Amino acid sequence: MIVGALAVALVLVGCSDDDPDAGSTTSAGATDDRATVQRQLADDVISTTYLDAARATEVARDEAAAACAVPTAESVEQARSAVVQALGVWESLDPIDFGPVMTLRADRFVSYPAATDKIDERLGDPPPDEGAATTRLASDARGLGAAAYLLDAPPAAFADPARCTYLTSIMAAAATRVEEVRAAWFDDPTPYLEYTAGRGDESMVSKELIDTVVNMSVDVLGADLKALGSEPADPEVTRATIAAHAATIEALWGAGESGLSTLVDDVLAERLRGELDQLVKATAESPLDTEAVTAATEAVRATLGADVVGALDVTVGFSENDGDS
Amino acid sequence: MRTTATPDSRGIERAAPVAAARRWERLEAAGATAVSSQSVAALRVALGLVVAWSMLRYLGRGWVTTQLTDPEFHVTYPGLSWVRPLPAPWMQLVPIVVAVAAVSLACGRRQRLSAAVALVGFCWIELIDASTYLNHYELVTLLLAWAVVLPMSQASTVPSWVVWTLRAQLAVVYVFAGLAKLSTDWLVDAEPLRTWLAARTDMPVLGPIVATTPAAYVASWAGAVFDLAIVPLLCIRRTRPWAYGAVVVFHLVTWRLFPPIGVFPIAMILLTPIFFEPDWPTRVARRLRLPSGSLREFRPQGAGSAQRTGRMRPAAPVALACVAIVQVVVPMRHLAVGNDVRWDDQHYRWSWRVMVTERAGVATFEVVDPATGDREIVVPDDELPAHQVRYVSSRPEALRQFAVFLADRAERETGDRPAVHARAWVSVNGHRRALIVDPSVDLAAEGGPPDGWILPAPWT
Repeated sequence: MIVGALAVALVLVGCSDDDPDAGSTTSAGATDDRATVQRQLADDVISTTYLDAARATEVARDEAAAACAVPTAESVEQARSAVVQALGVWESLDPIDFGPVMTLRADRFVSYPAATDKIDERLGDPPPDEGAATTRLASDARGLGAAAYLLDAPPAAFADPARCTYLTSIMAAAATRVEEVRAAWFDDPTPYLEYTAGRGDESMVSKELIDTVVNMSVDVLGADLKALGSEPADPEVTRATIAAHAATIEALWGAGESGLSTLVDDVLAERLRGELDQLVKATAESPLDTEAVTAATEAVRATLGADVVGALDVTVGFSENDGDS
Repeated sequence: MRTTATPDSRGIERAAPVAAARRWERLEAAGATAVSSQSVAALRVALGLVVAWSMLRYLGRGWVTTQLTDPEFHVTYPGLSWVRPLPAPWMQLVPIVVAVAAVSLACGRRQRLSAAVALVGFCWIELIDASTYLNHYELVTLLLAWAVVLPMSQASTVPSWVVWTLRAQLAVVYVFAGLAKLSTDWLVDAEPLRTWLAARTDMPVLGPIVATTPAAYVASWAGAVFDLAIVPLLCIRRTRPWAYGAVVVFHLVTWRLFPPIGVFPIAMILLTPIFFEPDWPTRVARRLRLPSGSLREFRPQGAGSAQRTGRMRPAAPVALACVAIVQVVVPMRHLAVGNDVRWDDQHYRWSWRVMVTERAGVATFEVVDPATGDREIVVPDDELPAHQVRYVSSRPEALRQFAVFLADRAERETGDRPAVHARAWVSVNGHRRALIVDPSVDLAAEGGPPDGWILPAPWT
């Protein structure tokens, strides 16, 4: 019976096509070792993003200090640009928001949405140093968003030492926290990197990292759709956030020989790649075409959440495989 | 025109009912034959232990909180939206009571009462939220119902129809599970096994093999053949031991390959011995040279230990026939409607479509204020626990119920009932994603059957 089944199976394998509309989106590539893909994601995408975030925040901190030392239109604009860029790199961690980013709750010091009225109020009594910024300020009065707001001022405003005291304190706090996250990822005795890369306990390799990044990517794109559906407080922040998310998801998906795309068939791999390209292009348009970005975001989310989740057997919860574990 | 029957035809007319009556008498006599109650008792013990274990897992994993008492929204069964959980601390008692009743059932203490308590509690837990529906919960429910009405611990013998009824109940699962696999997705595309097995490359040694496409085809075909053939093979004395061996291997393999499958494999391994001779526990004990006291669990309990077999009550065959018809008709009801169950999920439940569908979906809801035209985007991930997100996002009726929930909530807060539209993309068994409900339809205003607002499957 088994031999017969095998024979029939081999015939069917030969006869079946790879048209995703007709059948599976799981390809021969699905035989690739998922642990290999996980290791590659951890090394090439996640670790790189952590390093980028730490570097970008350091650069922003230094640029802010330089602007305070010599406040010219150029230096202030350069500092603000560096801060916004650092914020963007930090946001690009959203689709991989697990491990030290989550456990250290660094968002409170780095990317909490700024409350401009609170910042204006605190300018009268700025935190004198990093410690005070960490302990005395609310999350919405510190971080890179607050720094960007403080830098959104004419050079003359920097003659007031309070602005620079405030700025340097919160930038130091942000840089320290980002560095802590980076160090935890690479150096912590709890080896996040080892864990996610499957180099540690083999039983932990499983599908965890793949499941996590796919689920998180779907989640952040859902949040982006929500943000696009409401009146954005700052369209540029929305644009930068979505662009950052798209960039990370693009990196996770891979360009051909690497990433999650190697685990599915070429048609699906190419389709999502095309949809991600569309999203990246839409976020780069000026002025921002909200409808185009919404459509592109929905397309990527739908493909990830329906086709990719199905093709990679991403585990979400109860009743997976008709079971109750 | 008046016709006259010939003597021959009159004889045939008279003979037919007589023959039918004789056949019925023979059948009734066979059904009334006293057989050992040991296999029935063994099933009772297994059922009680499986239910108790299941409830302990439910408690241990915190599902009372995460699935029953915490969620503000529940996907409800038609006509059963009144089934609600108790307030948080008290609901924890329900699985405990069910577990105690199940242990009592396993021990044969007050069998019918224990089974009834376990049945009510189990159904209560099961019916609160349709997103937790599982086929093996349905099997457990039916077996508990049988334990309420059938003699499973009162005597050392039972009428053989009791044994056959329980065998038939298990047979229904395998047969319909096998029939559900006779589809192009399963046999031609090897889906969803191809997808599921491809995710198992991490398995030691076997990982690289099971994750290949040929392995998926072999597994799909072997699975269909197993489900369709196992009942006849279990019924034939000569093949029975091998068939049971196959049952054990099959379910252990599925347990290892698909850890989320939970208690189902163990349940089937423990329940299927009902197909063996009614006194199989004694035979096994003899074969293993166990002391005779080791079978005391299977001895009759209580006063009524005398053999009490005989003619069935007149209503019993009718009742059994009705139950049999229901159990055959209900799983096939979608054929009368003509819908594609794997796409729209209508009539999926109670049809033993075990492990034949991998569905994934994402949805966004647009809540539109009719007065101002203001719209708000709602993402299920923000509102629902993880186990509900995927369920709600990929099933039309659940999408509708969640839309109604959002509208009700907004109406309570603002006084105006909004329109709620869903954009839900669904992929089934590797087929390319498609919208499953019409995004232009106000789902919160849809109450009845899903005419018109469920979009056709992408493969039609």
